[in-house]
Amino acid sequence: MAEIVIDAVRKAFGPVVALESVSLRVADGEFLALLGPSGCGKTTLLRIIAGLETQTSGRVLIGGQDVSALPPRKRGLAMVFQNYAVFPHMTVAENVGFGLRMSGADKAHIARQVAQVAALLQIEPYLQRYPGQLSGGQRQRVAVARALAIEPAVLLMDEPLSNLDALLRLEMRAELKGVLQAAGTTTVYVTHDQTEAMGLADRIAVLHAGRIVQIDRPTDIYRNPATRFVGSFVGSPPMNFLTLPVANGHVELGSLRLASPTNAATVVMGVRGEDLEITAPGTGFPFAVRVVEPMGSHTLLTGSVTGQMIRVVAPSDSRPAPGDVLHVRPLQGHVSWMDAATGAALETKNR
Amino acid sequence: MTRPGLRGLSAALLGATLLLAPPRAHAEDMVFVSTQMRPIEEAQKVRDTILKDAPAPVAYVTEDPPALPVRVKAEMQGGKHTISLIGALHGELQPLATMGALMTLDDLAARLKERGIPDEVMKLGQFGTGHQMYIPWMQATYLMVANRQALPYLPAGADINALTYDQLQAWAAAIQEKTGKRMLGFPAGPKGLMHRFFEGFLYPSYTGGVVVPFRSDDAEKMWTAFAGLWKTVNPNSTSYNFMQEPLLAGDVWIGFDHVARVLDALRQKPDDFVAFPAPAGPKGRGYMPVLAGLAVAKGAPDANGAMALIDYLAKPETQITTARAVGFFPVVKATLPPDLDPGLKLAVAAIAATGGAKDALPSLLPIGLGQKGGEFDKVFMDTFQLVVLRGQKPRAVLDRQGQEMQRILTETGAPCWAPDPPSQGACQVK
Amino acid sequence: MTLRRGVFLSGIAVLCAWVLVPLYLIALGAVGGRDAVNSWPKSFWPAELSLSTITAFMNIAGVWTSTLYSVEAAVLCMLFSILLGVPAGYALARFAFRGAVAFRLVVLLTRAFPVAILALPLTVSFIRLGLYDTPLGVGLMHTALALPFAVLVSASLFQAIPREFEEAAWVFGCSGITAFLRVVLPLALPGIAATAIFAFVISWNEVFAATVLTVRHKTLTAYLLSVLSESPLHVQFAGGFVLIIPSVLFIFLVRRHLFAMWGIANR
Repeated sequence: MAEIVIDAVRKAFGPVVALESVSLRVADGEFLALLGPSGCGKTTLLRIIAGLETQTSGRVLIGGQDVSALPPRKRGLAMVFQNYAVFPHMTVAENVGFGLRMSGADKAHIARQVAQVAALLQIEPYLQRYPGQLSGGQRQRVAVARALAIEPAVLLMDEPLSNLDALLRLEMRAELKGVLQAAGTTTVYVTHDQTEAMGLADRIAVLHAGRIVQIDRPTDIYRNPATRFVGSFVGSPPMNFLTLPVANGHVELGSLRLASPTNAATVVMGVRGEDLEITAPGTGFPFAVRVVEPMGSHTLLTGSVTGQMIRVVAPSDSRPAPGDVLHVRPLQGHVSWMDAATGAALETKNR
Repeated sequence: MTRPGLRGLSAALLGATLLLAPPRAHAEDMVFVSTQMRPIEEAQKVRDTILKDAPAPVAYVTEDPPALPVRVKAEMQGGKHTISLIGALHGELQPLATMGALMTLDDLAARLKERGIPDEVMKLGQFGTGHQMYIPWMQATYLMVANRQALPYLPAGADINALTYDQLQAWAAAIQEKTGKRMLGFPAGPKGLMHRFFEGFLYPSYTGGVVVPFRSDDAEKMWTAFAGLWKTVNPNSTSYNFMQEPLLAGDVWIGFDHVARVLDALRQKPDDFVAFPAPAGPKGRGYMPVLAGLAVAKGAPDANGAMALIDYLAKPETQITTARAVGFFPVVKATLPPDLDPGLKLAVAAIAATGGAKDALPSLLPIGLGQKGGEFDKVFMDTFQLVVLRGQKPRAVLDRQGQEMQRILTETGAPCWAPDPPSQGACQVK
Repeated sequence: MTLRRGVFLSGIAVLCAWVLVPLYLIALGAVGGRDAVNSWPKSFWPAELSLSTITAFMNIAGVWTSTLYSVEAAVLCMLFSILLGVPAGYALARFAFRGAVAFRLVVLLTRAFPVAILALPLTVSFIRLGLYDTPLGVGLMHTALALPFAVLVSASLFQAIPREFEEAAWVFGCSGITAFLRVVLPLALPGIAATAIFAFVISWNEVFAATVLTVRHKTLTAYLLSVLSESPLHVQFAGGFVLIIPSVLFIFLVRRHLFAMWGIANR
């Protein structure tokens, strides 16, 4: 259990800058997700924390100690890799006990730890098998078990669920959350899947083009995205954005008249599909339905408003036909405003 | 193999290697390098029979002829000599003398004078320098051998010890007609000595020379005649390297080869074979005597030991033992004992008949060609391939190959050798 | 599908025959007794089984000692090729250093050199270095011949092993060298075993350099091969048999390591 401090870490591969002076603090015992699209630098940051990459400038502190110059094995951490990296030439038991063996623990202690962790991750039946005889999901558990067996101060995970099929991913997510909450280890988790981040993390750091764009609790990120990018990346379906002209500090949309936080010529209004309710004409704005997708739990309507495409999440029994014009309005307090030029959020805090 | 087993094996191998790796020195044994008697069994005989009673222990090492000058040169340049005594053919010792790698042996030659080595032979060992560069060691030549089953087919009136090429052809043709099989064989395989047949036997017999008349009209007639003769020759000849094998196996009844390469057949089944000199052509009975000599390397680690060994090898008894063992014949005056084995007797008689023939025409091995000896031989073999095997017209082939031969002679600057008349400067193809 | 299986099996049968029939024929000539060798047509089944040819062969002075020298030189070649080639291959695979491409080319080019040209200067250098006429000298020369293969094959071996394994080893307590020994090496072992075999066989079969560089301590090939074609048939069979046996034996002993037992492609 230890706190992680990233202090102005910058990483450049020759002329290409992967990380632009990133700073963040992970509290002791916290689960932080690094979320972002491919190439945003999240894996690079994780590897810098692990010591597998060396930062161009900046420091990494674990538990108050500057580990920037230390090799991975001296940083007191464990890592679960995207492709598991479970050693094919050792049995599962030997794999799980690997870290403990390397640190010179005595055999009895190793055996106890391995048994304990194996029970936790339900891989006891496989202990004497070789990884080649296991399925992907089972190997993933072995990788996690190996990491947990050494009772690390810090646990790093690099997209560990991305190679599993959708159903398995869901199951493993729940299991992981249970196991890690019980262990209480400081965890940094890299993913490009925002549902994973939302489900697992205490806090999410959203990265884009080598910068941290927002760090917040998941619900805060969801409700109050700091930029247009965050709003469109988190949540499924993505947040809708309407670029609207501003007149006299107000924005007019259909029958709605909303106060705009800026006096620029245009402003971007962000509202989530599930925060739009179908209403009677005259109370909202017109929405021309184009595509109707019955999703079972809800109906996803895609259509145009003032020529811009948005999505509306309607109740599952709602069955408009393509071409119908509905009237929708945003729920009170669920509208975000972004600067039209920069995409940055403008005042307003939603509940 | 289990992992502990493999580890054990590797450890054992490693240990053994490291223990054995430092060279075990037999520093006392004098090194005698020889280009003759290379085949395993012959080398074995040299060690077991000939060198058994040598004055001091000898390490007998065989060497491929092309590798000898390279090794001698390397030892000279490297500064540390391993070789003391060198045994090789006249033509192989010449380049060594030219590069200054041989000690002069004038005193030893004087001491050995009473052994009775003929003066002309001794003179060859001087390479024209006036100093003795090698002591003649042993000699051999090429013979014909016939299975007794072939004798009834000899043309009427032919004397087997004085055949002509025409008679040889008639003989082989008769066998072919009566038995349906071609029973005449030549060593035309990749390691066979067929080129010596052309250089030392066929050419002198038909043209009286080797290089000078290479593309003369006589040569043209010769190739035409030989192409005719080849029709009676067993086609497997192009794979025969040592004629004693097909002779013993009965694949051929008549064969031509170096005496060392037919000796086994004569000795294993002396009652089945006869040996006789090669045929004669219009210009005489060409034959090629093969002379081997012993030389001491300059800077040898054991020069005295080498000279003592030369003395030993030049003793009449040793020379007879050598003849018995490997079919190379004495250069010293030595009467061959009557209890010599019958096969060897056949060879001796044939060699004597060859050298003593009234129309004998000795033709030396090429001299002065150095590294290009192989190219020289190839000219003859190529001509043979093109004219005899592929049936091309001799004139065109001879003209082209004659140019090639001239190129070789001009590049090496080698003067003519017997039976061609001596020349000033490089030998010229007419 | 029985047709497909039939084709598959006959393919295997042909491949086996390709290797085994010549071996059988040589063995036949070597242990079938002296007369059988010279007879024609040769029978496919040995008329008598006798070791006389082989014992006579091994009793030829110098054959046994030169066999030992051959083994020495081959083992040294194998050891040096592995000790030098494997780390070099690892460096090529894992580190992007300047001149890596040039290095690969140079390593390959050493093979392009015909040894015949080098005979004289090589001998002179070896004499001056005191390596002339020693199995160690021959082993070193053979190492030079086998090294390109060892380096480049090792490089591709290590390239096929994902870096993640080493990174995992680093995270869980290994230093660079420990990670190599515990994780990378076991996975590369089949390929390294194959390289070792190749180095051994290259050395065992090499004739030219071994002939040029030795006088009294000749390897078996140097001792025999240059004159084997001029020797009688039964000696050729016995000699050929003896020359083949160590390679076959060696491959048999390390065959287990030739097959990737754990599958390095596994995740």
